[in-house]
Amino acid sequence: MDMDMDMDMDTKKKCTRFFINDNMDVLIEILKRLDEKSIGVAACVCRLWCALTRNDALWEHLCFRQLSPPREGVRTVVAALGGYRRLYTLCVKPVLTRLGKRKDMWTTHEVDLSLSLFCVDYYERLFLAGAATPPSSLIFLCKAG
Amino acid sequence: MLAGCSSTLLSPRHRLRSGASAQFQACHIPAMSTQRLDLPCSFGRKEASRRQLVRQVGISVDKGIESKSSLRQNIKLPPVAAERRGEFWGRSKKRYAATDEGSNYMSRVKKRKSGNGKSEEESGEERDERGFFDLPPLPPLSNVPWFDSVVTEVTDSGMSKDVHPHREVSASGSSSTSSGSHSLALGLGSSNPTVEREAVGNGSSSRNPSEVVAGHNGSSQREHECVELIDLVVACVEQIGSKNIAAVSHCLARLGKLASPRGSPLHRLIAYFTEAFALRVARLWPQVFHITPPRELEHVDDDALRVLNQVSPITKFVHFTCNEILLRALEGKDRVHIIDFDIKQGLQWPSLFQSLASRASPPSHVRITGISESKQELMETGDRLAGFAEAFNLPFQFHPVVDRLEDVRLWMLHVKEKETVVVNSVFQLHKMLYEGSALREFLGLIRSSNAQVVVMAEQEAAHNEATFDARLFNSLKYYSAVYDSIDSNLTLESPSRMKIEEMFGREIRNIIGCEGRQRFERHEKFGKWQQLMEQGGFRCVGVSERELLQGQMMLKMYSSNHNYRVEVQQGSSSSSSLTLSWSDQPLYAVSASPKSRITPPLLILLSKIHPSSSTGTPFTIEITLTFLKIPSLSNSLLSTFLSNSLAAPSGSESPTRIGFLFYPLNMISTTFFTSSFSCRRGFK
Repeated sequence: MDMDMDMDMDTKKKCTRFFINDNMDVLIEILKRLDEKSIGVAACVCRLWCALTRNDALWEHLCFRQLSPPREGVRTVVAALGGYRRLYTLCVKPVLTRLGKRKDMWTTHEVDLSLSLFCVDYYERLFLAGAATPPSSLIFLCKAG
Repeated sequence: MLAGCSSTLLSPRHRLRSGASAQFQACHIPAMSTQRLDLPCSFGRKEASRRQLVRQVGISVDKGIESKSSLRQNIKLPPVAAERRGEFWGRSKKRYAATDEGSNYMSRVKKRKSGNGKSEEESGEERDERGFFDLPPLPPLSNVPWFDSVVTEVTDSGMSKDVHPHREVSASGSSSTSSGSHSLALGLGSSNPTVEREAVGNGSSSRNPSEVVAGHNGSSQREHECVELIDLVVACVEQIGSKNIAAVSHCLARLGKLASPRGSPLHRLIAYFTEAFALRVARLWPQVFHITPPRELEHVDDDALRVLNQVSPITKFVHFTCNEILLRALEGKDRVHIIDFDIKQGLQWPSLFQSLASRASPPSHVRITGISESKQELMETGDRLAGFAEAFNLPFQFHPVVDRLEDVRLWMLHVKEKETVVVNSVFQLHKMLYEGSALREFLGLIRSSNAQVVVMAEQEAAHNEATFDARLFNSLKYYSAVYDSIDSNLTLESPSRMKIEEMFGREIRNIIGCEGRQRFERHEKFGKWQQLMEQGGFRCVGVSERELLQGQMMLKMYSSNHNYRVEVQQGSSSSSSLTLSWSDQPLYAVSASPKSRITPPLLILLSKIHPSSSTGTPFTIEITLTFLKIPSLSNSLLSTFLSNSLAAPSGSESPTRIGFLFYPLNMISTTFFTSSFSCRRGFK
């Protein structure tokens, strides 16, 4: 019994010395597996976590996690258009909600559609829209479905 | 002041007709306000209560499925309602029994009537009940200044004597209203104070006796209005056809009173059709009718397209489907050249750029030739697209062409070597149908640019019929579906909706009101387009599963998707188009036509067959052509193409007999080809 308690103490010491904030790769691995709501919650924990959740690679993983084969070559495009986080919140999430799809049932079709809508929005936002006319192509996605 | 006048306002013609309804005149309260005299033939005033109920088309907050009674249902409704109220209908049936028009329309409407007539009527009633909120009644179309001047002196008809005394009164009446109301009929916000509607002797058709009786029953009265509107439209058509000017003016007056661009969807639709009718009669009989336009009728509203894009999946459906087809055509191609007829704001191209840039091997150069009639818009679009392409590091070049479609020439298109050229045309090709050869020349131009495929999106409707009546009924059906589809997303009061309706109203005006060269909205169905494209050297192919899936996914995004449908419409011989339809009424169709292969030597050969008329005597030429043909090329296509080419004007002599013999390619050696035509001359 004594030996067990000693071992418990040892492991406890070892456990308490493990700060998740020191092991960012582990943290990122964990965050990668979350859904967007949890990521949002995680962003409120501390400044480090907030910065990590803004990392676009995380959101890219979120967008394309379920796809096989994974989408190559889109990264520069999406980065130019405003990043994966924006893509997800603006297009992917509403698209999937509207289609009623669960997260493990995405296909390239949904992704392509989201990307197309994203492009249209970018085009409108940056080029067509003045102060008076906000970009409107994606308004239909904003309405309560 | 009008109290005693009600009976004298009736013309003899209408007095005769309204003999049966004379008994009802007693219950009508004579009109009290001066505004009511702004029409020459004043009858059919409804009671105030009924009018108020009609005009209070409410803002229905939640658009449930069951609360919608579509326009198409309303149009179907008349025969259903009729059979429930046999007596009411019997009279109008008699009235129209004599006219072909009416019976054709009725039979057509009845054919469209589906088996669930009962549910339609119920849903119609439900909707009416939901529509009764407290809103001030809206001004009718007739309060508009221009409308009185539509009906000017009818010089040689018997009615003129009765019309004249009203003219002065109406002129004064209308001037007072016009200052008060800015209601430029079909449009923009009016600040008219509430108008009290009182009824005057019901001199209109004898078929509406039950309108009076049903005054307290809101929902059925609404149906009566719909019925009456449709009847009026039918009557108008018939009378335009029989050149009965007086009756036409009466019909138009009545329509103008009933229909309004601020009523129910049906009222709005009929209001635009009324305007189109007015245009038409003004063109047919310019010495009798003239319109003083209060507003710019040809004004193009760019904003309307933007709003349409917002609320309706039409634009995105068309763009995304076209892009899918183009992507497939451009697979593996290195240098890309897109010729876009009427590029407008270039909204179609960003997503194509993205798809091209995300390809495993993006194209080394992308060129877009944009054709439009507005220089400024074109320049702006070019800059935008260039900026967008730069974000992707996609080498891009834009060529603007400011010209009308028929004036575009090959040198304007900047076609370079070693490029894959594709042509994109959204709602443009139908403008070339005003003349037989215009489309052929246009397609010839496209062929000469070495385009690999023509992707076209067109309205799926038969609005180019030779007879006016057929055009009218087709477009009535079509635009009622269109107006319905807008209805599901925007409230009745929203100005955006008015803009969209106005935009479609312009199309309606062109289809109905114009003729000849001025009528450019000549929509055709996919089957017809397939033939036309084949004659021009482009063979329609089928759409793939991927486009269908994408279209259907696209629709699911929109909240009112339960009525929109995307489906594949089969054409002949393995061609198909992707069609967007609203409750069984097809609206738009997208199709792709790659170049069909015709061997060039044939064209050279044909140019040599040119009869000389030096002998001065008439002769016939019998030409037997024997040439090589690729087995996959259909005989019918080749024959059509050849007969069209030979039918092209080549002097007064045209070939009287053309016989074709086809040999499969592998049997004949090439030398046989050049010597195998014989030419016989004979005397007539």
